[in-house]
Formats: sequence, structure tokens, C-alpha cells
Amino acid sequence: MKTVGKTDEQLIRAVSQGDKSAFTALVNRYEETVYRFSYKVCRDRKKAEEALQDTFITVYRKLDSFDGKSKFSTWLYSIVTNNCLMTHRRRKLDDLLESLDDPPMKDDGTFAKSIAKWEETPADILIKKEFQTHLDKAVLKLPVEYRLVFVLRDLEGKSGEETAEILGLSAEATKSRLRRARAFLRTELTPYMSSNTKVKQ
Amino acid sequence: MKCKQAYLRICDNLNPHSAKCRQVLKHLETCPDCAALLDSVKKTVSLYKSAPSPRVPSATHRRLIKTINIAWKSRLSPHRRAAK
Repeated sequence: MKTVGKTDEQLIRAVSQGDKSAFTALVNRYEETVYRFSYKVCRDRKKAEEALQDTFITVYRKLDSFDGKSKFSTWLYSIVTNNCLMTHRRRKLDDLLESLDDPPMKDDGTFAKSIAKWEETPADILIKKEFQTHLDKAVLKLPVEYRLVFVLRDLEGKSGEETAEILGLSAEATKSRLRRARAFLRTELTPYMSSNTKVKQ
Repeated sequence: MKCKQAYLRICDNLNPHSAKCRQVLKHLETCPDCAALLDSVKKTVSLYKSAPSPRVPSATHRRLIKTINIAWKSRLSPHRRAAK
């Protein structure tokens, strides 16, 4: 089968009829997506490679159970996220609940502490290796359940509905996790970005 | 609108420019804390989005294709199971 220009659905049909080249075409089409997504979640090349292998083996084994009700890419993301959840030992959420809380508010509905203003973000800050390390460390502090929502919504650009579908969460739970993940990361990066609290680099 | 409500709306929607968000926008004009919060949360997302992510190493790609080939030859082949 010529696989160029075929839709995912056409390729899946061809795989079910025994066409290996169609499966290879699916792998070629999505391996970068799966690898980069896994890397963004794990922040580790080796783990991302393992996740890539595991994901496509799972896809291979379960492809005949794909019912086509959702997009193939949505189904694929649900497999990657399940792999990520299974490979990460569930962290003790209780230990992190405090840091994942919304910022403390006073009775009158205003912030208990003033919010630090961030300086402009020069592009060259990203070039600094130590800042990259800091970004990685901050995101790894997030429990994987929150990290997945952040990566899917903010880095992969998935809609709230698709993110909820991939993770099997309610829209409200997805929103709440995203809000807390964003606020947590912001707090973690503030020492680097705020003129008032800037750490020595 | 108080910071508490603005915070929830800001962190749900980082581009509160629609008519629905008029109250949030009004609050942002007069509240430096919430304006700083929105700006810094947007920058947080932007920093992560701009961070480079690696491509699949060619050795990893080759290993994956090899694994698929082995699986295909095994009796776990999806078309064989579908035929059962």
C-alpha cells in the first residue's frame, strides 16, 4: 500500500488487513509527537525513549480495539499518558498539597502577600544551561497527574475537552489541575524572574 | 470583582480579552497584583513552550522499527487476532 497522503483511519484499516507498511507509516507519522511529549513529561531522554517503545508496542497490541470514536491522536495520547502514569511511582500527594494550593487570600478576597512582578524575559535566558535545569527541576516537582495536564494543555496546545478525554477527567478537574500547575510553576520560577527576589546566578 | 475571583478566571484563561472577561479586565486595570500574576503565568507558559525539545535519535527509531518487525512476525499481530 502506498502510505503517503493516507489518513490515519485508512492506515489503521490497512493494518487490520495485514499491511505492515501501514503500521510503519503510523509510527513514522507519530514517533516525534510521542517522543517529545514523553520528554516534556519525564525531562529525561532515556525515559522518553522507553516511553516511545512502550507506547507503540501498546498501540500495536491494541489497535484492533481502537473503535474510531475519538481521533487516533487522542487515543494515542491516552496510551502515552497511561504509560507515563504507570512508570512514575505515584508521589505522595499529601506532601505536595500545600504547595499546590491556590495562593493564600485574606478575608476581603485580596492576596495575603503581594504578587512579585516579573522582569521582561530576555530570550537569552533560555540559552543558559542552568536555567534549563531549573525549568526541568520545577516541572519534575509537580506530581505527574498535574504535569500531564500542563503539558497537554499548555505545551501541546490540546483543548480542555480533549485533555479531559485523554486523561479521563472531568472538565472541572482538568481546569483545577491546570490552574494549580501553572501557579506552582510560576512560584518555582519567581526567584529567577523577579527583580525583588532574584537569586544570585 | 475581588482578586480571588480574578485569580480563578486568570488561571483558567490566560487571554481574558473576550466580552465575558470584561470584569476581569476591569479588575486587572486597577490591581497590580493580579496584573503581575497574569503576566508572570503567561511568561511561565511561554518559557516552557520555548524550551528546546529533542528529536528522536536515529538509533532509537531503528530500534523501534526492529521491535515492531519482531512483534509483527509473532502471533500477536493485530490482523491475525482480528481474523480469529
